Amino acid sequence: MMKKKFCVPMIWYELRNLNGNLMCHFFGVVFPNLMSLLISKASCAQVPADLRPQITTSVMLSMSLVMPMATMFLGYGALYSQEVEQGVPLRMHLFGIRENSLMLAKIAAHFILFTVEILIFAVFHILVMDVQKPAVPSLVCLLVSLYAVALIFLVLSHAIANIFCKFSYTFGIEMSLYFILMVLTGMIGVRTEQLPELLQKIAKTLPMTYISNDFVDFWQGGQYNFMPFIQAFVFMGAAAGIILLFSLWKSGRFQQSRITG
Amino acid sequence: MQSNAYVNTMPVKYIMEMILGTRISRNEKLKQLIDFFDFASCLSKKYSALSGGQKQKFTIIMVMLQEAELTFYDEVTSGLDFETRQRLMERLVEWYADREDTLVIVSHYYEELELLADKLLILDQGHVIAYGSREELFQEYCGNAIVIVENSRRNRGLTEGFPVLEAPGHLLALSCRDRKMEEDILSILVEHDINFKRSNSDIEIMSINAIRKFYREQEEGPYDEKEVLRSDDMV
Repeated sequence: MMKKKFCVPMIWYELRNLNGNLMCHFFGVVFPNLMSLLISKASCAQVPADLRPQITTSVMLSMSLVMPMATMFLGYGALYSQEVEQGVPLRMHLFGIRENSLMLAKIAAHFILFTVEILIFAVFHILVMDVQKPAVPSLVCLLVSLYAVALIFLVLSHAIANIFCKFSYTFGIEMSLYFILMVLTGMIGVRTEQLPELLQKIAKTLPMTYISNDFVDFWQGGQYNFMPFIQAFVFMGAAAGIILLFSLWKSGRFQQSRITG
Repeated sequence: MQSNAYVNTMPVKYIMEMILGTRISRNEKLKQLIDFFDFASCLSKKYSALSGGQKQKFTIIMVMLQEAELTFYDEVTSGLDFETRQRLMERLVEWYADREDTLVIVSHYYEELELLADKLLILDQGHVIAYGSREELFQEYCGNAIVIVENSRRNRGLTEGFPVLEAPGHLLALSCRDRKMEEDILSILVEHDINFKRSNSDIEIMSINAIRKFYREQEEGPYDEKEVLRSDDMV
């Protein structure tokens, strides 16, 4: 049988696959916009009018992190673990579709969806919310950071799904991590500095903490020490990479044991 | 083929198009296959909404379009009801009837093999037990025809003296070496109002007896068929 290489129809297939996953739509599109609206309204009710745009911007920056976490972490994990559990990649392999090709298509589709979510999020905040106009470097910095966070979460999610090969375990673990990360990085209203010291130390190893808490300070320009932020990226990226390597090693052993019986 | 697994997030039409790397509307051969298997109405359904038979058809269509020289169908009808199984096999036979491709079907259902095979190669634990046309092999290992009844004390008593073939435990398979013997057996069964099945192509009974004969010859050397039948009488 002819081996089928990565091609555009595969991306369309994966986009349809994503479209059929309602979780992605809710957590990636509805949830961040809705949460941003509700938290902003609640927070702004207690502050003077001139501070409201800054509060709304701060909430928006925090809520922007929901998109990579929901789409790349929860959404990808839910979809991929179900497929692995049901043996879909093996079935595709039998039809000559390489797992790497399908994986590339899956990644491309997730990034396309993620981009659409960012656009919807931006349009919603421009039209409905009273946010501060950003300085161009700050906006670029936010976008690059969001895509980088998205990539790390995708790697992490793939690794977790590969390790457990079951939807129930994967989704349970990722959902728990999702809420823990939201709490640690100040996305649900409690600022990181209000957390116990140990949790603050953990939070500082996560790049989302800086996006959620600090980005508002240079949103309209200004100086910022990026070093801790970059270190957090390196740390989280390395951790995700190590877990991915472990998952590949484990799945390699698993496949070998299946072949040798 | 035993386990089918596809995503449930989209109509099967899109899964089919991605796997085959073609559009249904632009591929005449694929359209033909879809019509041949009456699958057009299923294209807009999600995979989970298909019945067992439709799921098998879905995979079979995609396998057939590959036009491989040799195609293995492993337990392609397992888990399907009798009627669906028969229909699916009939379609497969019809499709491959005038083609040069080779079709290998692994099946536990002997009636499927009876529908498919003209020539039989009986293998057991790496040994070639027998090879030949169905009729030749049946004649060699079972006789002209066989009559199968329930393996009960009463039936064994009534048919005593007739040659008995090896058969699954719950069945009593009587070998009819000629027309006369067959009529004798049938008259006894009809007279005593006993239900029976008559066959001149039962692959299951034939295979069991071919395998048995093969191993007996291995142990004792070639032997006379009359000897076998006499010893079978004592079973």
